[in-house]
Amino acid sequence: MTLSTEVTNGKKRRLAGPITIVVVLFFMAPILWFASTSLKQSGLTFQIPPAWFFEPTLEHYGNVVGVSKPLETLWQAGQIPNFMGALFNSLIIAVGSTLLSTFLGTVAAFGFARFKIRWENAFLLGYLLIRMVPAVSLVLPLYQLFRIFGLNDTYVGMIIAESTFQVPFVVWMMTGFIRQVPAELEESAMVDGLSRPRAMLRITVPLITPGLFATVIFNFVQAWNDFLYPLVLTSQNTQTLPVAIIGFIADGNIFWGEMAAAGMLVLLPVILFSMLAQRYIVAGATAGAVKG
Amino acid sequence: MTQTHSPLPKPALPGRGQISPAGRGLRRRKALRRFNPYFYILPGIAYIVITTIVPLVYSLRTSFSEERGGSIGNPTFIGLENYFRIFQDGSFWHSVQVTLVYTGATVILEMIIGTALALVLVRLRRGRKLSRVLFVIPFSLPPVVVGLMYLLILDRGNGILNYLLSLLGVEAVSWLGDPSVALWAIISVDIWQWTPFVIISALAALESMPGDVLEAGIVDGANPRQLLRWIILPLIKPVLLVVALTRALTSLKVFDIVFVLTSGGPGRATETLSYNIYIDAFQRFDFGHSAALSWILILLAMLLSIPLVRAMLRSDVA
Repeated sequence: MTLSTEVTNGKKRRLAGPITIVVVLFFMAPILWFASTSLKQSGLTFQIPPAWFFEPTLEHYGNVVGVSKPLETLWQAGQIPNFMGALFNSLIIAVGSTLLSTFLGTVAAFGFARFKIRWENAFLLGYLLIRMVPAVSLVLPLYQLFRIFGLNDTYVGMIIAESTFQVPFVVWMMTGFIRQVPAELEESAMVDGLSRPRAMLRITVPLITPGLFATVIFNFVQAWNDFLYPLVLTSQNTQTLPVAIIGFIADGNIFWGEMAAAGMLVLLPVILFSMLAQRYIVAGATAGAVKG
Repeated sequence: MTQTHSPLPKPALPGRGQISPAGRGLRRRKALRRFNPYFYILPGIAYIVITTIVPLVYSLRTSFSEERGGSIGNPTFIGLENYFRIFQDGSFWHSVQVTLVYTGATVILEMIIGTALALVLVRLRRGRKLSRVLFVIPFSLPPVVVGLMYLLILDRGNGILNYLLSLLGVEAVSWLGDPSVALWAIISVDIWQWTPFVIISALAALESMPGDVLEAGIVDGANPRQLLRWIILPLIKPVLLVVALTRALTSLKVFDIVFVLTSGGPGRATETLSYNIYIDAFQRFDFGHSAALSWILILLAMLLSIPLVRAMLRSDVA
């Protein structure tokens, strides 16, 4: 017997369906409205009463990715954002920092999960507390130090900045996942002649792949979504999408349709990834105390 | 866990050690093996020390200095002066107040709405999985894009919200331009984005509740309200506590949607502590002052982290 079968009487049960539909619609509506704006002719964006039905156009998407002509001169003058350039920067930084952090963090997690380490709990707690340091408190010293070492507006600098939150997150998540795999499995492989690292790689890593996959997705999405670090630490050369797309409606620009289209292109991979990692998202968001 | 890094018995492989040139290499390998565990954790720790601990110490130094953005180095040491200035500054206390209202309102409202909706959703016979997949979306989105989404919706003259309200006869509200409304508009956006997170977490807790406890309650003649008050809520409380503290911690640092929706305005109506820190450093270039503010925010975050860590260790959420 579970909560869903017994506690509730029939009437409440019948209400649950309609209430859920309303709630889901409420949470999806702003996204759908945004999507519809991205497909509307510019003149219809702010039409009152709103244009509920319209002939969709991909014009804004074309302008954003730079296929169509009308905005080309503005773009060349640097007056509207270079979406494809920012996309390239976003990918390099998100993929680079995710790979680096996942490697460093997973190796450390093996150490914590498999060996008796002095002050083990203190280290793990330290990682967790570092994860909770507000980004806005770390961005100024990073900016100052990067200025000394010439890392502002470079990929290396941005990858370091993003990884400061990812490494503790990976350590925390992966230590838990690895501990769920019995050490005896690795040890029996070692009796068969494998070295410890090889046993980890061949025996344990395949077993923790789903958790590893989810961790990778969280890291990627976090770096992809991040705004404050690229806002402060990048300019022309390495600016990422979240900062770039604001340019469509900043500095006197009013390209609402282009902004919505660019926003949709930023959203779509996030929606896809988060649905894939859905099963782990509660644990992930909690352990991560989602950066901000 | 016990020591596991040496599964083979120690005096193994007789004779191997005597083969001379290889002997040194073997001994070195053995010495390495003794340090083995630290090889795994050292790179991760060294990396964090360099990229996080060092900057934090640097920030502490800056907070004790008079340092303007233009120059590199040579800050003047002024002790606690920045901190004294902050505590005497009305705009600091204002931003603390804005931050606390924001954090308190978002956490309380999201917890109540989210838990209530989870209690409804758990009764669903079909579509629970689909709704859960959809609920993941809002809080995964980049806050910047959420801000842009709501710029469209909340537009005073032509936004769809004011249009829908006008159908009900409500006069147009300047959601982001009216000082008494703007903070609550941003709070509402946060509620839209994060309530689904509470729903999903509470739903997971409800689903993993042991059924026999409920059964016992029903056998004892408890009505649904008593079941909720004395059985269901106490059982999911550990999870709710972790969720609430997690939410508080993220709300405390809110920056992105404030930046996009109001830039702290109108006036200073939505200037949160983290926005204040940003403005101080990167518009007023008063690095020392900003670093001192940063440390106050870090201490506030740590104050919340202690109960969060304890709650996390007690529940099995993480």
